[in-house]
Amino acid sequence: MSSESPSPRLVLGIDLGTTNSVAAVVGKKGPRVLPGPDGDPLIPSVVSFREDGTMLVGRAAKDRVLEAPERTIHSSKRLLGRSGAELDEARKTLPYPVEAGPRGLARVRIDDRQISPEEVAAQILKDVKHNASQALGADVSDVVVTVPAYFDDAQRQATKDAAELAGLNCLRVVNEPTAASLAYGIDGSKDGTILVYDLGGGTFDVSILKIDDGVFRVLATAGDTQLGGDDFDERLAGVLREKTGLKLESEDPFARQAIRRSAEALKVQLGVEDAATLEIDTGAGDPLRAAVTRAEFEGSIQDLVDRTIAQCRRALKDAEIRVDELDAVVLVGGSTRVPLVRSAIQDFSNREPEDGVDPDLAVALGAAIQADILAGGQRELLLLDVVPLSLGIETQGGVVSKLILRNATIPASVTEEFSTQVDNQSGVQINVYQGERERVEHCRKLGAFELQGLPPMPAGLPRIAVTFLIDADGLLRVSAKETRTGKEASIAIVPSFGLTRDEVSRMMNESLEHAHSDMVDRSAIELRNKANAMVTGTRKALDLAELPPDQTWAVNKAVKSVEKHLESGDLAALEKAVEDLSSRTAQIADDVVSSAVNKALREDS
Amino acid sequence: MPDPFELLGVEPRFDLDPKALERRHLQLARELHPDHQDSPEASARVLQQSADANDAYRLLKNPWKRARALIERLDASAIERNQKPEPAFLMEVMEIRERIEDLAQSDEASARSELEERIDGYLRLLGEALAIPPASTDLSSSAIDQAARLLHDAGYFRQALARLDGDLD
Repeated sequence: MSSESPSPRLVLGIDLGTTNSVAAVVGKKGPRVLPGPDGDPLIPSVVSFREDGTMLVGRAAKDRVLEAPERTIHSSKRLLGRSGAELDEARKTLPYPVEAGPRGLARVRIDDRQISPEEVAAQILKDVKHNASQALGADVSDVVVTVPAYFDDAQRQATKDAAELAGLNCLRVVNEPTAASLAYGIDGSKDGTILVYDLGGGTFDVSILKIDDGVFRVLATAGDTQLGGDDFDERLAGVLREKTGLKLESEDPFARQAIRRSAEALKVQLGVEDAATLEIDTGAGDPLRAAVTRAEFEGSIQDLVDRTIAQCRRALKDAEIRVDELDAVVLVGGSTRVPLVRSAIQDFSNREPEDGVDPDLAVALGAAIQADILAGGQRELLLLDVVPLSLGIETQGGVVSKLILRNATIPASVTEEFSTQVDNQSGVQINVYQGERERVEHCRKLGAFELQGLPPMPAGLPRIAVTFLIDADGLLRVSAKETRTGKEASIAIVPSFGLTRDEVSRMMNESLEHAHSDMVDRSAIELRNKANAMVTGTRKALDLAELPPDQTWAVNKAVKSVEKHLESGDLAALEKAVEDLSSRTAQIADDVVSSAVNKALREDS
Repeated sequence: MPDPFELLGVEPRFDLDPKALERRHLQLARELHPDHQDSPEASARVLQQSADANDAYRLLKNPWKRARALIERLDASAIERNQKPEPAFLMEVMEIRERIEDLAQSDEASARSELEERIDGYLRLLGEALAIPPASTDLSSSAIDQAARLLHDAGYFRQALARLDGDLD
């Protein structure tokens, strides 16, 4: 593969999606996505844990969702930075076990291990990085990772922790709709006010942006981090259950996964057809048949789509923009292919959505552009993003006093003064919340900040200035100073939802211990992927090409040999067989082209 | 936070040109943005300044906050001194609030435009109070007091409007 150095410093843009992940870089000709191991830039965000303790990631893992539903983790992004209790609804429908781990945080149960969503995401990021390094012919470890704009502090931090666990240096987390707007507006001809509607597999964001002469300014953002295509699938699965008499409660993980996959396929089919019939093999008894119309599907998801439109309305209001002032509507995320979604946003905005951006790739391309800015490449571009949720502290009576309001341009900061309530008090605890409601129980606790080592003084005398600063990642940083003595007060942070620094370093050490087996495993997976892709590709080519019989026979023989060793699991033999096949196909590639040319000439004359 | 007018390098007056203010903010945002620095250390150094510039712009862009910043700058105790409205005025505010609470949904639009009209009126008066008179370089203390009073009184109606819009619990 070609090796190139896109900018003085190579920084990778990664769209870490609920369903798929994509990597991109800025090259000499602008941003481009990198192919995955099978040539497809979309790498399934799936990790499968095998009984022998090894792991599969990406396509190979996705292929196991039906075979090993309890050990194959998909949609793990929805678990990031969440507690087990918050995921009660999701747990009912997920085929793999999710439980409450340390501090009540969501953990995936595999055998006797509890695995954090950060560790699952780290495996995906490692795989994406590895693929990208191969495609570029250079090792990359500096990355920009995208997150839903509406991700709160805990979910953002969890994403950064995942990158750290993957051994990556995450220079920035950038908001997905903002990244998409960069991909959309990079050519400089799209100045104006735009609405980016980003409906992915598990999350929904809407951002209103003003693009003006290389300045991309987010005016407002809104969304729902637990709403996406997965929910459409689940609603459709509900329709299927109704029609077939299956009961969610009595389904085993295999049946549950089979229905989920069927619903997913049905959703795609109903995107182009008005009705579809489906057979579901639940693994027990005869396959079940069900016919579903598009109208039935749309009826089942109407309220979800309405929720996204309500968020669009809120974002516009916060941005102080009327809907008729918009210059463009940009659709991002695979779920915007659902016709009802398109028509809803079209009716709302009264305009045709732009079709210049690929909804699956725009976010990764934008992440690459942001990566290039950070690498020192494109300083003429300026990105000004906002904080999605208001930040406040607990005051008397459980009321949240807001310090930084939602949609404030970041970095943003505020300084508040605190004091003590009893004589010689040496510490003060500050509880920080994120959310729009007035009471603590309706907001999400971000963490507790404990000011320590205050000099002994009578109650109320110390004056501690605490600065809350939201950095360019949208992450909170807190610092404190006792203003009478000028002494910096130290702060201990206990995150409510996420890993402590100790946990991150312990997980890093553990993964280093296993680094060797990971590597062996990885190269085995790659070889198998490559072998599978070659078998399929060669078969297709043979069908198309008009080869002399002896060549066809020789290639077929090489294909069979690859298949044999794929089955036997003898890696050394498989490697040899793959090499043999690839040298043969390289030979015939020229022949195929010339025979195609000959054929064309014959038909021409 | 440092004085927002000084921070953005604009003249401390109420009738700022919004376009010029925006240009000044973008210029500073570009200079100070952590993304545009040559090293992580430099990014860390400008982080607080960058936040201050964003915060100053957000403040000055909003006419109510701009008025408050201006009043505080001219006379630090003026805001506190003018927090006691006339009893008759308070009665009126109470009446309006009660009326809004009992409103049928269909009447909300008219209540909203009534409130908006009142708020706009306050903003106009505030602008007049804070306008530097001809042949003078500064505001009189009575003008500052009047502005602080207007700012306080307008708050009741702005809050009522926010409540009507469902922005408050």
